[in-house]
Amino acid sequence: MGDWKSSLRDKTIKYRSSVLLIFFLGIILAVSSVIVYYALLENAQDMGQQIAYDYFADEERNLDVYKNIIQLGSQYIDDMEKRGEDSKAISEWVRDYLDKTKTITGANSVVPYVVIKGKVISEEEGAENYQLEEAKWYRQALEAEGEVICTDVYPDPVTNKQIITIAQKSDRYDNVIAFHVLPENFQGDFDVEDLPERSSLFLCDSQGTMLYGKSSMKVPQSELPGYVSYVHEKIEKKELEDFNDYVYDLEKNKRAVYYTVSPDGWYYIITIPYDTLLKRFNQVFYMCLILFSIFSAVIIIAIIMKNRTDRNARRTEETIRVLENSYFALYRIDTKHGRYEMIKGSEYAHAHLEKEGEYEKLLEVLSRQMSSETYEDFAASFSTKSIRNHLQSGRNQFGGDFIRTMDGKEEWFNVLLLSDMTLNQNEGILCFRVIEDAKRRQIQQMRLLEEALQSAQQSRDSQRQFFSEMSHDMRTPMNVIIGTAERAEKSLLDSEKVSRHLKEIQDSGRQLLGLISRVLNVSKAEQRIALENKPFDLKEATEDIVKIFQYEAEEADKNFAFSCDVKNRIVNSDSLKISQILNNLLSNALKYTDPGDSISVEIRQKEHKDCVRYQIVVTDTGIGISEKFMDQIFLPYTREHRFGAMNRSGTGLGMAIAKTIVTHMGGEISVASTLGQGTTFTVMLPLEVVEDETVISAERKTDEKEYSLEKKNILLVEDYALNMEIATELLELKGAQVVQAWNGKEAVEQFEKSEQSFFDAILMDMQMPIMNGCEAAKAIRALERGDAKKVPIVALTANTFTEDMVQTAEAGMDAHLAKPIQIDVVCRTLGQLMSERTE
Amino acid sequence: MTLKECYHAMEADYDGVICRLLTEERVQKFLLKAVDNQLLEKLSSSLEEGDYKEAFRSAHSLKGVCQNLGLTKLEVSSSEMTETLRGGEPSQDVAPLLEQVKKDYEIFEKSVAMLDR
Repeated sequence: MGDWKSSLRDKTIKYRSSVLLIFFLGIILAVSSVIVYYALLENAQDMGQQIAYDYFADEERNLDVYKNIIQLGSQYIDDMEKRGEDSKAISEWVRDYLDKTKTITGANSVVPYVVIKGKVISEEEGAENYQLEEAKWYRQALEAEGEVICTDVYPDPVTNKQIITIAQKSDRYDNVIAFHVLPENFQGDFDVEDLPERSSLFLCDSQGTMLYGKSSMKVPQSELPGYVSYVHEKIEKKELEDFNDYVYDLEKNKRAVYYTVSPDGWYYIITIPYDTLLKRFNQVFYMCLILFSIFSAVIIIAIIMKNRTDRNARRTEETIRVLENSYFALYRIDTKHGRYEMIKGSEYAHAHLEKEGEYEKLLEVLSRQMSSETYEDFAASFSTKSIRNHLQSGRNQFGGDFIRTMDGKEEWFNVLLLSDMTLNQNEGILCFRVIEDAKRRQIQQMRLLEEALQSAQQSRDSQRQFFSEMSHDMRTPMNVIIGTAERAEKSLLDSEKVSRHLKEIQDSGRQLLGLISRVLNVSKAEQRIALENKPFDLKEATEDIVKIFQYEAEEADKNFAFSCDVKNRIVNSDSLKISQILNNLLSNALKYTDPGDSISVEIRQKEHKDCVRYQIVVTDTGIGISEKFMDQIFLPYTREHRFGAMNRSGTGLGMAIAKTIVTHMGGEISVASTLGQGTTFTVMLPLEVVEDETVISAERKTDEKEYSLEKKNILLVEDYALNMEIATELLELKGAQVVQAWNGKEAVEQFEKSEQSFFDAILMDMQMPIMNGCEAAKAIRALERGDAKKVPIVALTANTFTEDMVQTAEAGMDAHLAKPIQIDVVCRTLGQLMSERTE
Repeated sequence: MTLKECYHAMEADYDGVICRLLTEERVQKFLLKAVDNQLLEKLSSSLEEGDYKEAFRSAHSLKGVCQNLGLTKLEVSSSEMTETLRGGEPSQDVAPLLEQVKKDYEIFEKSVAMLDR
C-alpha cells in the first residue's frame, strides 16, 4: 500500500508539468464558465425587466381607457354641480353616461357605478341596496382626493364574482364614479410570440391574487394562481432581487423572475426558464468540456505511454545488468558479416581483443584457453554457419560446458548461445559464465559416489579375502588345541608333558581369541559402507519423491501420471538410493519437456518363478535425445567438454549417477528415445521381497546377495550359439569373464591348458555332441592338477526329471541348475561354491 | 507391434523373459537372432533321413532357445519332440509332433516379423 502510494507520488512529481497544465486548463474553463454564466444572467435580468416594464405599460394603456372615461364623467358631474343644475338633470345625465359607457367598453366587461351625494346609481340589479360604507373602493376613492384608484381583487357583494374596481372622486363633491371590472378583461394583447422561448406572463394584485396568467408550462390553468401567489410571496420577501435569483416552476425547472410594480401595487411578472437564457451558454460550455476532456485524455495517454516505454527501457537495462552479473563475458555475434561486438569481456579478452572485430579473431583468442580437442569441437559447434543454423531453427538455447585453462588452473565454464526471433535473425549473443555451484557440487557428488562405491567394492573383496584367510588361520589353532588335548589325554601320567600341552592349548586358545576379536571388529566396520539393506515400503518411498515432481510438473503446465503396480510392496534395499535414481530420472524428464508435454512414472513388479524384479519406467513426451548423444547419456564427463542443442541448464551427471547406483544394485538401466517425440528410461532392479517383514529373513537373504562374479573367470560350456550368447551376456553383466567351450571335449581341453586356479567355476550344459556334460565333468575331475578337484562345476539341465540328478553328482559336479539360465540363481550358487572352495 | 504385444501374440512369457534378461532391448536382440536359426530345417531334414541323433540335438537346442526366450508354446512342442527322440529311436510317431513344432514356429516367426524395429 505504501509502495503504491509512494510510486504514485513519484509519478505525480515526474509528470508535474502535464498535471499542472490539465489543472490550469480546468480552472480556466471553470472560471470563464462562471463569468459567462453570470454575465448572461445579468444581461437576461436587464432584458427581463424591460419586458416586464413593456408588459406593464401595455396593460396600463388598457386601464387608461377606463380611467379616461371615469375622469371625463367625473369632470362633467362636477361641472353640472358647479352650474347648480338640479339632481334630476344630473341623474338623467348619469343614466345617459352609464349607457354610453356600456356601449364604449362592451356589454359585459364593465359594471359602472356612479355615486351622487351618497346615492348609488347603477343599472346593475340590486344596486340601490349597495352598502357603500362597506365598499373598500369607495373609501379608497374618497381618500385618494381626486386620483383614480384601482382596488385589489375582491368578491362583488352583489354578484359574488371576483372583481376589481377602478374609481375616482370628483373634485368638489363626494361624488364617485366606479367601474367594476372582471379580471378576464385583463387578457392583455401583449404579444407573447416576441417573448423568449417558454416564457410565462403573470399579472397579480398587491396581495398576489392572479389576474392574468399565461404560461408555457404543461399544467392545468387552475394550478397557476397558486404558483403566482408563491412567486409573489418570494418577491415580497425580496428573494428575487438579484440577477441570479430564481424559482423552481411547476415543472421543476429553474426560472428567472422579472417584474414591474404598477402605482396601484399590481405586479407585472415575467418568468423565463434558465434553459432558455443559458441555451447558448450550455452549448458552448459542453463543447469546451468535450475539448477539455479530449485534451486531458491525450495528455494522460501520452503520460502512460511514456511511462511504459520508460519502464520497458528500465527493464531491458535491468535485464542486461542481471545478465552481465551472471555472465563474465557477453559477445554479440553477427553471423552474416562474421563479426563480433564485445558487450562485456573478461580481463583477458579486453587485453587481447578490440571492442568489435572479426569473429575469427574472437575464436582465435578463445582457442588459447582451451585444449585443442575442446577447441575443435567448440569451433565446429559455434562456427558462424552453425550459429546461424541454430538461430534459424528457432531453438533459442544452445550451449555446453567446457574446461578452460588459465595460468595452469582448470576451471569449468558454460557457454550459451542466446537469440531472439524479434532481433536480427543473423545475430545471437554468446554468453560465458563460470559453471555454477550446483554443477560443481554434482561433479563432486559423482566423484564421491564413485569413490564410495569403489571402496565398498574393495572392502568387500578384502573382506572375502580376509574371511578365507581367517577361516584357515582359525582352523590351525583349533586343530592344535584338539590335537594337543588328545596328546595330553594319552600322557596323563607324565605331568611334565601335560603341563607343556596345556601351555600349548592356552597359547592356541589366546591366538584364536585374538582372531575372533578381529573378525568381530571387521564385520562391525563393514556395516558402515556401501548400500543400506533395510526393509521399506517401495510404494511409499517412491510416492514421496514422485509427489515433489508431480507438483513441479503441474506448476509448469505439464501432465503427470504415476502408477505403482506391485504385489510385494515391502522390499529389502536402499530406499535412499532408489529415491535418488527416481530423482535423477524425473528431474531429467522435467528438464527436457515443455509445457503441455506429459511425464509418466510406472513401477511394476515382474515375477517369474523365484525371480522377482521391479521395473521403474519414466516416460516423457519431451524433446528426446539425439542418436549421437544416446551413447553418451550414461557417461560421466569422460571428455573435458560437451556441446549440444538445448543444453538446458547443462546436461547433468544425473544419468551417470543413476546408472552407477542401478548397476551397483545389480540392476540395469536402459533408454529409448526419438528426437522430438520423447524419451523412456527403464530401470530393472532385482529387489528382494520381504514376505513377512521380519529382520531375520532379511538378513539371511542379505547373505545370499553378497556373492558377486566380479572378475571371476567362468568356463561356459554350451553347444548352441544363441544360448551361449545369452548366457555369456548375462554372466558378463555380473562382471564375470567368460571363456566359451562348445562341447565337453573342448571344455576339458580349455581347462587342461589353463593356468593353475585360473577358472573360478565351470557352467556346464548337459546335452552336447562329441562329449556330454557328465563325461566332461568326470574328465576334468580326473585331471592331475590341484584345481581339478576343487573347481566348482555346475550343471545346466534342461529338464530335472529326465536328466538324472544322481548322474550329475556321480560325475563330480557340485550342483545342477534348471534351464533357462536365471542369472541371480547362478550367481548365488556359484558364489556359495566359490567361497566354500577358497577356504 | 511392441515387444510386449509380440509376446502376447505368440502366447509367450513376457514377464519371465524380462525378469531373466532384464531389458527389452536385450530380449529383442536375442529374439531377432533366434528367428534366423536353422534348427527347424535341421530337425525336419534329419527326421526325413532317419538321423534321429541329429534330430534330437536340433530339437534339444530349439528347446533351449525357447526356454531362454520364454517362448512357451514352441518350448512345449519342441520339448515333447526332444523327449520322443531321447532314446535314439522315436518312442512314438513324430509326424504330428513335427507338425505342431512347425505350426508353433510359424507363429513365432510371424509375430517377430511384426515387431517394431
